Amino acid sequence: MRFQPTREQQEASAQAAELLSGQADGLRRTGSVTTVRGLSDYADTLRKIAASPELNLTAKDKVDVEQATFVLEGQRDGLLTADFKDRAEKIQSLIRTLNDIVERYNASASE
Amino acid sequence: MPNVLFAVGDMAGPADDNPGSAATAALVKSLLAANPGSQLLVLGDNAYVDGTPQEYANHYTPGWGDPAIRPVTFACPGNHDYHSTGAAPYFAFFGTQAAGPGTGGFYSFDRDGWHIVSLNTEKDHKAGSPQLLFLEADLEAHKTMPTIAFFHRPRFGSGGHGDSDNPEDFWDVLFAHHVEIVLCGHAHHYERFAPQDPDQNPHPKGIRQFIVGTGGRGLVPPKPPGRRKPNSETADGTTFGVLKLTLDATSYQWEFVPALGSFADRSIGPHPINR
Repeated sequence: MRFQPTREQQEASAQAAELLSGQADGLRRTGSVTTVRGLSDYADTLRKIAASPELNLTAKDKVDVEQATFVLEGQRDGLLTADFKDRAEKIQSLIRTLNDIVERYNASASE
Repeated sequence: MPNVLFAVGDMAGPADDNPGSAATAALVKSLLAANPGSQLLVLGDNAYVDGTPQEYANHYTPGWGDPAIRPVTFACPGNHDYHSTGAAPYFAFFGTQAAGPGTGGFYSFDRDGWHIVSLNTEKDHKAGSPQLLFLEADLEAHKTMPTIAFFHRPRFGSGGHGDSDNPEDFWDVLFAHHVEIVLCGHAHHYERFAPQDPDQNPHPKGIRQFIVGTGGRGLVPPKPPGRRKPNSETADGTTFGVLKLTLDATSYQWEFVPALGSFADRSIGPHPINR
């Protein structure tokens, strides 16, 4: 699908990529390999969206974005549990914006 | 005779990752046989991992596609169904009767005095979208009937995935039309909420949401009591099983029937409808 992300979607993608990369970095330092590879793939896809005014969004890219939202859900819920409500709400905002990309892809793929 | 509906999501897939699917499908088959005229609502992510034709053939069909189950099944799509482009295998498998017309993935039907609405959380449902316009018109046309809506992603949850903004617009419309029950999967646990409004305030004529992502995919435990979401009345992540709803003209009752595990949940007497 040819996709032109909005400025908000690009910014959300860039921030989400940083969050996933940070988590991947910590996991790498503590011995993870497979999970790091997965998170890094998702982050790469998000960076591609963040950097491109227009791109070819593939089915794999869409699943990467969706998987990224699930990782972010974990970060959000962890922060909420630790009473970091403001940051949790900011992550929820990223999730919402990334989900718009997923829905847009699904709608386009159905046409 | 009261209506009986069964509901469950997140079912079939490779046995290693979906250890409860066969037992839950067998339970559903026996429950449908013991309750003539009953039907099954499947709550999405029906065939893991990607909802491909092969996964529907190899994982869903052997248990859930049983001739005693499939003709009385009504579906909604999940995010994994959309891992296949446009969820085409989902629509091809369930067809118009069980997945609705076209590829919108939303439809409704009546069942002995109750109205049932299937919605699609994986495609646009913001204000003004075809899906939300359908929902508003559909509920307006059935406003005297007690109503159940079912879709994949829950608005509120104390387990994996937590809360989701995704069905926010659904909830606003459903609450405004006094819908009684919302059924969801996506999170792999069971959870029952007290009737509430879209802002999580307890409300005597609010929506009672059930999460029944216990059809087979590996379970994920919910948070412990005390850390669960407002209005959560019970939750469990140890037992595969199916929700049984018994519906009559003025009330409904629920029962979580275990397939693998020992958790159970049953209403204490009938709960009045919102009409």
